[in-house]
Amino acid sequence: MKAVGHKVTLQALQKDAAAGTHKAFERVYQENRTMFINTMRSKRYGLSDEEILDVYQDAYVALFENIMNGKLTELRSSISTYLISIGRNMALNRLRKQNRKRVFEQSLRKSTTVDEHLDSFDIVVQELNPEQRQLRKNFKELGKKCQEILTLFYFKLMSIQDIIEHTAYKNPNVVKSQKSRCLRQLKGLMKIEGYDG
Amino acid sequence: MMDKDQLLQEYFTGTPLTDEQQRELNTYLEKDPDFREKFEFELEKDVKAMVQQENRAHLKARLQALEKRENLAMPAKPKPWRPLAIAASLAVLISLAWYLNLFNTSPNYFEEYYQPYPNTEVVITRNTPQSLEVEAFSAYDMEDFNKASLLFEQLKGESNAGYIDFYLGQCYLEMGNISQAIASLTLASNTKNDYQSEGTWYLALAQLKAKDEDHAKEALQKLVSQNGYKAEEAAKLLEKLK
Repeated sequence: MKAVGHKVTLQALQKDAAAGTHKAFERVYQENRTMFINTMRSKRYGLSDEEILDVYQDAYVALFENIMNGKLTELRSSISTYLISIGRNMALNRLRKQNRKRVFEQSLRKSTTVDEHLDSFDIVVQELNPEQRQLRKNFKELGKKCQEILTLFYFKLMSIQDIIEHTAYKNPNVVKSQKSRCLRQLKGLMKIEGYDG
Repeated sequence: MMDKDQLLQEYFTGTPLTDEQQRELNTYLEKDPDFREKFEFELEKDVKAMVQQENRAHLKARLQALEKRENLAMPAKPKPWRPLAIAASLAVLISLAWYLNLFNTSPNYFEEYYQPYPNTEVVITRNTPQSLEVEAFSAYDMEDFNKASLLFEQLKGESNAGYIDFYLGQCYLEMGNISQAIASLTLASNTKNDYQSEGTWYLALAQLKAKDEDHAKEALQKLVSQNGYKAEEAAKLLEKLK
């Protein structure tokens, strides 16, 4: 695929990321699925097909997340190269955690410029600790508006200025007070009296 | 009474607080701005981790739903090779080649003059640090021209090193992809770089292969007049083409 093709794909995903739609998100997932699965099979990490599919979904979500949060704004290679690089990192992390295979330093060596690019990305999938799990439970009890504003701040990593430019919010003070109110609600659910955001 | 930092730590790892600790926490939050700042910092970190997890889970669930809705199957595993099928396709290929040669009466200058150009750009040893460039040239050295061409194409997007078009042209020649070879070698031949006259020579050969004698002659003339790489051969070949 030519560089122009990559650019179009990235733009389509960016459009989805900004609009909250999923057309390109689903199309690009399907376009790269076979390539990803076959490549992971050929790497002989000892992952089952189900695990490979799971890694693909995590890798794909990570790619999309970094498009959403603006850490991936231009491609240094094809989308598939990014997916494979992210997938390889995730697969090796899994294997290391499960102690199923000795992971040689060699296989972690950074081999392409894409790997270096990935250093700045959010791709670590961490388990939540009990306090974070409690937070997550409470998050689900918040209203839609609160979930949205916290997502803008903490998942899409938008600044107040970004939020004003790209969403229906038009007043920075409203954004600030909305965020505080939502954090306060989360706190309220955590039963911390002295904290008011 | 518990140390403040310890209290923070217990709280944020999710250790259940006693009623007394809970009261202490509330008092600190109310009266100690420093403590409150630390608390907010930790809370934001956790809120971020949690919101990330939550949104990732949503996106992943969407993909899982897509899998179900479209009933996506795992790609078939590569089939074991079947000698009969391969023999049959070889037979077709060989007879095709024979058939084409039978009607091809003009002398085959390409085959006569063509020699693959070795990698003179990157020396690869066991300790060479990995990079896209090194990967491309190791594929080239291993004669995996398909892979090498993909890597050189990728490299082209990232670097404007003068050799890329030249080696891309080499890969395409080896792959028998003559029109793309001509495109890459034309670029190599027309831009100032270390492989300019080498590029012109291979361009001439590629054009002969494509039965485009006029352009081949043009390229050969250029080599002769520059008296550079393969100028003598170019002169001889020009004679033969007259």
